[in-house]
This record gives sequence, structure tokens and C-alpha cells, in this order.
Amino acid sequence: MTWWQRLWRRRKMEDQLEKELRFHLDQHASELIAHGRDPQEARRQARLALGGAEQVKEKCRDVRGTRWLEDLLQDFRYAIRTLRNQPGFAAAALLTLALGSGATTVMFTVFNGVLLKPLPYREPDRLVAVHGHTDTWNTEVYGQQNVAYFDLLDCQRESRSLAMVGWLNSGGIVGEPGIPEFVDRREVSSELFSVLGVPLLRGRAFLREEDRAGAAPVIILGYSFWQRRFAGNSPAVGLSLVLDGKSYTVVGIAPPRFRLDGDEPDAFTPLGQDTEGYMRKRDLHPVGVVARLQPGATLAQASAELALIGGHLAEQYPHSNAGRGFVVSPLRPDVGDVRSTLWLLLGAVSLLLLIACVNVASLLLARAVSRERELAMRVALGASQGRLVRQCLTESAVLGLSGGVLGVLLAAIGIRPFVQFWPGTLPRADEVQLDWRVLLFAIAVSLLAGLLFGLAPALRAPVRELEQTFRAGA
Amino acid sequence: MQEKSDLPQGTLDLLILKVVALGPVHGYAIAQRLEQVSRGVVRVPQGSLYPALHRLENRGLLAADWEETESGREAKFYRLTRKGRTQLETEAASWQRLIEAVGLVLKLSEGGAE
Repeated sequence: MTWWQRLWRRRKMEDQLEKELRFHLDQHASELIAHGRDPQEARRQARLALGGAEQVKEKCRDVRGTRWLEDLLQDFRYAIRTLRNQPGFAAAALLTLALGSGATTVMFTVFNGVLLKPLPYREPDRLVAVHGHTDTWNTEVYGQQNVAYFDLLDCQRESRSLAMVGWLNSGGIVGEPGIPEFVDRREVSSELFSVLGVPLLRGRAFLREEDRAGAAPVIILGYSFWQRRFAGNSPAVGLSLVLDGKSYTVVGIAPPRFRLDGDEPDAFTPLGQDTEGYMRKRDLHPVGVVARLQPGATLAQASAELALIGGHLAEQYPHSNAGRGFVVSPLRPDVGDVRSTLWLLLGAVSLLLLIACVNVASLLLARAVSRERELAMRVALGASQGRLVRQCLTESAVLGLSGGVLGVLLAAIGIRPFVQFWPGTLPRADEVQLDWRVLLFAIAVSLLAGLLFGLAPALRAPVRELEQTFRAGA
Repeated sequence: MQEKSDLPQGTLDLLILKVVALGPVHGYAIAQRLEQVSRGVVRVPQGSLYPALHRLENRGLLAADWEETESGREAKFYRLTRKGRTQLETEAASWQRLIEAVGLVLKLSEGGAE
């Protein structure tokens, strides 16, 4: 039997224990009677031999190993009862805690969404970013370098450890059908969606043969653009659309909230169909590159391999590629300088929560003074200090957790307005949602807070000087 | 009459396992048998018998069923599980080793004193 079964079947186990001991006593007594004892005397002797049925029962209960849980439930019920008896105190403490943990939860929700959540691609930890690198380039000042299109093609062909795809920012005016409008376009390699592991909502991705100059013009629409322009009409796939005076056939629709480098593009076209001059020069670096590590390959292997390929390219094209290499790094969301701001704010609200805890602790201490007699009574009846500390901590944990639940409610209401009031734009704002991580955080924080403000009153529990306490309280 | 001695720490479990190994038996009969077999030398603390039985049951060394006795009353009958049997064998062996070792040491000190 596992411990929870033992707990669950407590009633039955109590009955059986009672029955078992009664059987023992009866058996012993009847044996004594058979030896010629007076029935009453026989029963008395049997009880004496067993040494007190209640004590034996108590020992058997201890053996079950569910004692702590039974005590916990008892303390829990008691805590709820005492809180209900003091509604003023309960309201003040709960409100303080709800505000404290609510603010912390809101802040953590933002923190989680912007900094902690993995990128919304399949197995994001196998994705890497590939950047160009030269010794004279100062990344701190200029940011990361992109890659020349021909370099990307060479790397794609040579690399065994990476499945690489490129993308290029561009725009364009969509004419027919409807009112002309500027769209945010990404020119992408044909395998972009499969490398990121994102299935299309409708239609298909680009084919390999569409990813070269002179192929039939095809286009994939972003989900929001499709909703806006075609009102989410599914027959959009197969329609033609005029972009910058050129007619494209719509072959697919990207899934909702599909983002590339932080933005949701309106449209995607094949990178290889771009015939502009910047695509054909190795000394221009317009293409952003992401890659997925091939099964079994490591980041170090990929780095080494690309260094080798970079070396070959430098020998082959000394004019454009001398001293040029590639850096492979894990793909991380680009959140700019928001990181330090978020840390600062999280620190600030944690302090706020600490202040709330201190306030509640002083409320509890004030109440503890008025409860001294009750606790002293329990000590006199045989409660150990450990038992009293547990009881006090259970009470404060109940307070903490209820405050935490209220805090989560506050956070659920407050998170949207908070994100909207954020000065400027918050990167990954639509990833900011209450999820299991936030709930776990809120529970942990409120339990911790409960321990924190419960410890002072708990350790104050009167164990010595019982007499004075009783006299003073009398 | 001989003076009764208290059980050394931890031996009650071993004795219970041994008695139960002879066949399914209820608590009262275990107490009786322990007392008889040890010829009254060992005082079985009846108060600790039941906690010990329950502890062994929780550890899976004993299993228990409610069955009727000869007199027609329902009683809780304990029996040894496979795990209990292994435990009994190892504990009996280590107990045997212990008394042999203690016996050796005692003999040695007598020899030295003469």
C-alpha cells in the first residue's frame, strides 16, 4: 500500500486496528477465564498486558508514515478557521500580499515572455545563427554582419553539419487585387520553413527549383496580411497577386504569429529569384542566415567546419573574402537592451514584495501576542515546539498561497495594460502570457513569502515561562 | 523462576518474522508462541508487538488477510511475503554471526582471567 492509499483508507484502517486489538484482548481474556479467573479480573489483566489500547493504537498510527499529512490537513483546517474568525486581519494581510505578489507576477510574466521563453520553432536549441566575421569589424558598434549570397550558396553546398537557410529584408507595393499597399517582405531560401520546423497553415512551401533566377514567381503570405487583405479567405491559395508590378502566384499561407527575426512579415518570396546586383557580389553581405544542426552534429563541429569553408573561400576569392570567416552561435531572440531593464524592474518588484512580507509579518506578530495564551495551552497539553512551529508555518503558508492566488488574478487582469503602457515597443510582446512557468513562479514566490513572514511569529511560540503566560492572561 | 529479560534492540522484528514464517498467524497467537517457545525467558512487550507488525506490513515484509479463526471470529492473519522471507534469512544469518562472535569474545576473556 502506498502512503496515499493509507491516507485515503484511514477510516477503514482505524476500524481494522480497533478490531484487531479487540480480538487480542478478547482472546487473552477468554484464555484467562478458561484458567479459572473471574471474567472481570481476566479482562483487566488482558488490558494491562497489552499496555493500554489507545497508546498501542497511537504507535500503530505513527508507523503508517502519514502522520505529517494528517497533521498538515488538521493545521490547514485550523488555519482557515482562524482566518475566518478575524476577517479584518485576513483582509488586510491578503490585500497586502495580493498586491505584492501580483506586481511580482506581472513583472515575471513579462520577463518570462521576453527573455525565458524559447523561440517558437521546433527544437529551438538545435537552431543556430551564422554571421560573417572579419577582424576589423566592431560588433559592439555595428552589430552582427550578414553573409554574401554566393558565400551562403557555397556554405550550403559544402556543409555536412548544418542545414542552412538565408533570408533578406525587402519590401514592395502590392497592387492587384485591392488598394495598393506597402508590404514587409522577406526573400527566403526554399527550405526556410522546414529548417525552422514550422508547418505552413495552408498550401505548400517553396520548391527547390523555384529558388533560382527565372523560375515561376511564387509567393507565401503572412497570416496577418492574409487576414487583412483577403479576410482569411482560403481560396487565396492559387490566386495571383501583383507585387512591384510583377504577378506572383500565392502558393501558401504562413501560420499565425510566425516570426522571423522578431517581425511577422507580410509576404515571402524565393530568395534565389532576386536578380539585383547585391546578390551577385561577394563583398556585399545582405543575407541573414539561420541553420539547424544536423542530427548528431554539435555547435563546435559546425564552427570548425565553417571556419574551414571560410578558409577555402578566402583562398579562392582573395579580393572579397581575405580575412573573412563565419561565426556560429545558438539562435537567441533579439531583445536589444530590454534585458537589463527587465532585470532592474524584476528586482524592484521583488523589493516591493519583501516590503509586503514585512508588513504582513508585523500584522502576524501583533496577532501572535494576543494568541499567546492559546499557544501556551497547547504546550501545556503536550505540543512540542516543532509542532507549534509547523502549525504557525501552515497558517502563514495558507495566507501566502491565498495571497498568491489573488496576485495571479491581479496579474491576469493587469498584464495586457502593462504591456501596452510599456514605453516604446516591447520585443516579443505577444509572447507575454501567463503560462505554467508563471504559475509555478507565483506558487513558489507565495510559499516563500509565507515562510518568510511566518517564521518570526512561529519562532516566538511560547515554550518556556508557561506559568507567567497563563497568569498574565488570566 | 527465572528472571525475564527484555529483548535486545531490533530482535523483535526478527522473532516476528520467524514465527510468521511457520504459517499464517494472528497477532495474539504470535505473542503466545513467542512466549512459549522462549520458555518464558523473553518478555514479549505486547504493546510494541502491533506497531512492529504494522511496520513490517508497511515495509512489505508481511502481508495480512482477514480470516475466520477456529472459534468463528474474524482475525487479522499475517503471512510472510517473498521479500519478508529474504529479510528473515539475511537477518537470521547476521544474528547467528553476531552471537558466535560475542561468544568467542566472552570465552577469550574468561581464559585470560584464569
